[in-house]
Amino acid sequence: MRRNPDPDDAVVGRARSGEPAAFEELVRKYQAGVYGYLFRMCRNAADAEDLAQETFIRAWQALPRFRQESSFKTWLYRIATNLCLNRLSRTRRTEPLDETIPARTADEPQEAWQRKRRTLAVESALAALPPDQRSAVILSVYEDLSYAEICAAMGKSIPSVTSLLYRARNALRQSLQTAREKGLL
Amino acid sequence: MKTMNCEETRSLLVALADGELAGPDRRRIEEHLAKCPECTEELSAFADDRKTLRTIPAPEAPPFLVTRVMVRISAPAPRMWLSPALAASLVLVTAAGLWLGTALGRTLIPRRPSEEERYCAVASALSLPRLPDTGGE
Repeated sequence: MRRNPDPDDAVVGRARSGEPAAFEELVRKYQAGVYGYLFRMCRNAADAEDLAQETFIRAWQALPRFRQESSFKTWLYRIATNLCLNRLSRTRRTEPLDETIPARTADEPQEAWQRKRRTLAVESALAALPPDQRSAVILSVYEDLSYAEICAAMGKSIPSVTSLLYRARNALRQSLQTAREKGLL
Repeated sequence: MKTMNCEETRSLLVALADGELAGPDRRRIEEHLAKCPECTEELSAFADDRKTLRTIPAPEAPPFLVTRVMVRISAPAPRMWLSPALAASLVLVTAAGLWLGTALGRTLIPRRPSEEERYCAVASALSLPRLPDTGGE
């Protein structure tokens, strides 16, 4: 099934014909999103960079077989999701989060300290989710993918993604509520 | 059109808060929300949570990610498989080598004398009796 025109179509076409400069343009465009997604998934900078590199290399190698049934962006997130969930299931490792509330240092502005506490509370809530729920939430909330794009990125149906996000957001509500009660948010 | 109850509505509230609901489902859920303050409050909480989740800073990509990817792409890939033409050539060369080796071996390497021939040579030198001829019986 052919989807709507993708703003990346022209560049992807050049990259598919083996033009490295065109592919570099795509890497530049998506590096922040792909790295951010992977970092939030595995909470480890080295793993996130390794997986991000692997995502782009796999994309380059698979470009001749990319049938453009989805946008390049969702196809890229599909590769990243598969690599990341595989690694997490193999290593069963998401970097543990130090949930100790940081004490405010003498020279730290109040606003910066509160921002740090807020970030920690949100990251803890996300880290507590199972990997597939975390993946759906990150793609929806931070990467701005629509439910249809999340389906393509995760290889799941719309009802399945809707249910995954419903469960995830309910779990997050509880965690965020607890953080509010502790005055972290 | 049947209106939704609270349980059906709640399973779709996240999708509505994410702006993903359209058509008849959206109309039915809005009808329910118009008369259900609990579900309306729940919808508002999901929308607030989304805003809270988005307050944290985005992780910054490492500075040399693009360079590292492009270096790996431009490096020649290790050759895992031989091309069919190269594989066929190698089979031909190996077969020709084996044939030539066997043929040259027959020509150049002297045949090792049999036990009987070696006895005869020694017997003739030492004037020993000849072996009894068993052939032809």
